[in-house]
Amino acid sequence: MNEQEVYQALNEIFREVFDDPTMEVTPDLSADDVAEWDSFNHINIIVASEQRFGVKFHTAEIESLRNAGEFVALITRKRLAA
Amino acid sequence: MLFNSPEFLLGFLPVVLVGFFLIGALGRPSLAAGWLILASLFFYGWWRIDFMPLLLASILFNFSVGRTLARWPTHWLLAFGIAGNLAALGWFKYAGFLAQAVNDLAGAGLPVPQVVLPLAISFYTFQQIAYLVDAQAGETRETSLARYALFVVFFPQLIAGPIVHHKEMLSQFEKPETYRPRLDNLVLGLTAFSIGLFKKVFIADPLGSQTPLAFGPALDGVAPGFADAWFGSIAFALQLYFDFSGYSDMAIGLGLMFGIRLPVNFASPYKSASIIEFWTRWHMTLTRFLTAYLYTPLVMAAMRRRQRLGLPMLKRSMPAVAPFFWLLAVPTLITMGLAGIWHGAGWQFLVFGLLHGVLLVANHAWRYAGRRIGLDWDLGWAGHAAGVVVTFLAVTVTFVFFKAVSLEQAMSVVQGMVGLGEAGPATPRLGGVDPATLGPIEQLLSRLASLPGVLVLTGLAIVWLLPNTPYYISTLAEPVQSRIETTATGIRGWVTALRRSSLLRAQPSVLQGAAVGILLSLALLRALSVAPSEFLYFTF
Repeated sequence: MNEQEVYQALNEIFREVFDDPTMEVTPDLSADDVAEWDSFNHINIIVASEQRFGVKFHTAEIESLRNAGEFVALITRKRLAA
Repeated sequence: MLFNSPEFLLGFLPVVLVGFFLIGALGRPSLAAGWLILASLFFYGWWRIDFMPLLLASILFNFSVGRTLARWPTHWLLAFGIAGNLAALGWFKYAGFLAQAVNDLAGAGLPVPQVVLPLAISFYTFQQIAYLVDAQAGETRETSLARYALFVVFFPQLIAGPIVHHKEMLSQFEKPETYRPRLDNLVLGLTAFSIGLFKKVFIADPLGSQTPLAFGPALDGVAPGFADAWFGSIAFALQLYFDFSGYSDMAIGLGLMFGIRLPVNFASPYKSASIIEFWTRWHMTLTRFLTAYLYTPLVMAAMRRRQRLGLPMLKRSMPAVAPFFWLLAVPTLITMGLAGIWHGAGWQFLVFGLLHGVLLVANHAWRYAGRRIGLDWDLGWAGHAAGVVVTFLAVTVTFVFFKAVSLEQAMSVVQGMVGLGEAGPATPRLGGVDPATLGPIEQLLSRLASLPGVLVLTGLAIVWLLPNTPYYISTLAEPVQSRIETTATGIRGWVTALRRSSLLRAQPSVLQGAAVGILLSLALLRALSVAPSEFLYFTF
């Protein structure tokens, strides 16, 4: 799975979580850009991604993420290590 | 030592600051750090020297456990470390309350221990639990006892936060530049400190003298009248904000003077248009702590469990009751209930936390269900303003429980708020009129037209219209965190042009320098002429 495919998969997850079929995930997308991106939906995204990408995240990793780009980097790193 | 006391303002602070930079200028960062540790311990011991052994024992215990965890990151050692912290906190803060509760509920004759609450224990315990969790996860690492001690006792944030992560402090303590004087840090730090001191002595303390209108009669179980109940409670909601955010401004300002950036604790919470938003702006470092170490693990565990069992998840397109209840409502209520109890050992604090939990759950339910049943009207600025006012009033009601010394007192005030008051108007005459002849709304309006009323209205104007201190001092140093900036101007869209003109941000100009100078002089004159009052959060 290359980076573009990770973004594709994240698009699906984000569209589902925020119920917004037009949503596009870009590297600098962050919680400040989406009104309903609260701590609950943050975890929603994380757990959906765990299942989708077959990885597991620690609480501390989740907390330090600042934007979607960092999340994609983390997913890629985890998939390589797995 | 209180930040607003003469011994701090005229003695401790200047001496420690000059000493810090003299030693730092000699190129001896570790000596400068040592100076700060000694100064901080002196600062703490000034109140009660007998609380010191517990603080030192806590530092040694957590440093040792943390070091062991770095080499041997097992879950049981982490559990042992957390249990040790909670046991100390439990004994000093909750033993008396728990024994009393068991006696009341079960009629047991347990002896009720009379334990004095050691200053700052809630804050330094939480901060160190966070450190242990991060050390176990390999997120942070500490090898120096001195540096670790500084992380715990650094006096600007020792007593009442902001609650900091070890990671964010370590990276700053390690840098030699931290120990070199920098004019911009000193200027911005003094600016934040001046604003905070002004908030405390000119706004919070005078507002505090208005709260007995609501809480005075309620102490004897008599419900105040409608106007007095609301006026006194709103005065308290404003007092608490100006007191705690004033303290936080002072802490952040002091940190900056010593070259340390402390995290933002308040970003205009009363500008929030929903209770969910409120908790992203009120006591932000506590929210951050609870989210990271309690709420997130609870929700993740619940979600993974449902995923494993193949049960439906919470979907925005198709919300269902069971996942909403188990994934959102239960973790929220547990987290907020514990957040309430963290503030103090008492039923009123539990109710305070649970009320916020219920409001948060209702807010989420509205978000999920509103769209389904066509209730998500966009009312533009009017809807936003209504959201701000409703959120403020809801928060005001919850703070009645926060302020009250007992559940009974809080219930009496709430009884008055819903118009079931028994007491007559607290002041016999308001502006020449006998308030007993006025209706409740007229009474409230005439209260607002009185001198204390002007203070309350000024407070509301400040929290709704002016930018917050973190925003104001952010220009010179770093790009602003967007969360601070987006609401800095208050009710949406308020004089954006004025903000762009940078009149409302710190500039190294004569005009702004003079303004801050006047603010500081006034605040100092006041602080030095009255007996310093404690900060409200020092009792936690």
